[in-house]
Amino acid sequence: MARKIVFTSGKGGVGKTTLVSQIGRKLASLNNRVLLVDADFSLNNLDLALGVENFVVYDLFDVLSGNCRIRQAFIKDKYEKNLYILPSDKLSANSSFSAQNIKTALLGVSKLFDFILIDSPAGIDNGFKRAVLCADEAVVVINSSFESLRDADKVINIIKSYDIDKVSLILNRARGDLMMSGYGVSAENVKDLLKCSLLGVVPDSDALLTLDGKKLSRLSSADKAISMICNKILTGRGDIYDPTLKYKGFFGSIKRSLRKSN
Amino acid sequence: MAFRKNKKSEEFLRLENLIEKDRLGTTCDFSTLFKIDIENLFSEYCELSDKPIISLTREKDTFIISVTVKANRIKTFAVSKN
Ligand SMILES: Nc1ncnc2c1ncn2[C@@H]1O[C@H](COP(=O)(O)OP(=O)(O)OP(=O)(O)O)[C@@H](O)[C@H]1O
Ligand SMILES: [Mg+2]
Repeated sequence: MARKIVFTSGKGGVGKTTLVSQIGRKLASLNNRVLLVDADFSLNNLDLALGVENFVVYDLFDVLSGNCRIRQAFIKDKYEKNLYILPSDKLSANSSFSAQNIKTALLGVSKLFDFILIDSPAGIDNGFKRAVLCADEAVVVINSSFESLRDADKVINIIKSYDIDKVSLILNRARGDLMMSGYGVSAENVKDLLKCSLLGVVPDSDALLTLDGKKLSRLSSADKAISMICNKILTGRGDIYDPTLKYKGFFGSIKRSLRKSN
Repeated sequence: MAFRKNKKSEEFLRLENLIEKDRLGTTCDFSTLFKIDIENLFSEYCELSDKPIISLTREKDTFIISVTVKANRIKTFAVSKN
């Protein structure tokens, strides 16, 4: 049976869709069978994040309405043979389909996958609840902004009141240069503040920002951070990416001053 | 893991307070007032050596309030019986 993990957040635009697609690709490249489900019915972008938006024929709406079988709606990723996407183009935020409807649909294919990653909408409305209730584990994506941290605390408390086995955090778009200058919120601070375990840290990275569905360069720091997260997902152990590392030492201080002047 | 614990900035402490307030469902002033009143109350009975440490948490529908007070001396006084 697949592990079903929902990626959610209080604040929007923190990187859920980006992380679902890149963590999905990385897990698939490590020989895991992975399905990505777009449960963000209003602002569905998972197809775009993986560059398969032109291949959508059937979607989750068709599956839930009985217009097609679930496997007919799967789109195979361009780069990873073990990765499939279940898009949600035709659904709207106030769709009447429930988490139970989606869970039942996924149950039939759960044996075919090792992981089902669910992309949730931001906020704490029905769409969020629907997405979270489909999963057994939750990852709350945050960035260092105070709004994102405050909203995340509310989200974590709601998730903890559901039947979810595990909740953890990913600090995305971490700015090592700011952390070094004492401005950014450190991973340790975040863990303490939100009383939640940390699954990983992903740096603010141009490689991710300019990806457009293509494959992430193996040489990028974001790729390294995502590999470390996948290792933690797979083994339950491992280190967390340190975004301050490349800003340490003599060359690091030059990089830091260059970045700050941007 | 190579992270150091950043010294908490004033801004960060503000966020901590805000989150505590969100969790408890109270106003920002509640904690401050509550802490002042508790300190005043204990000062009537003891000579405090430090500020009381007050922790407020919420578990479902119950608030758990724990107060730790350190005192140098307990005041002695009699209660009039009329
Ligand atoms: N680590 C990162 N470094 C740089 N850019 C990033 C990073 N993570 C995400 N982004 C960029 O941030 C933007 C928002 O990301 P994304 O769409 O994944 O957020 P989201 O949480 O899914 O948003 P929504 O709440 O609207 O669904 C995108 O342009 C994406 O490329
Ligand atoms: Mg998204």
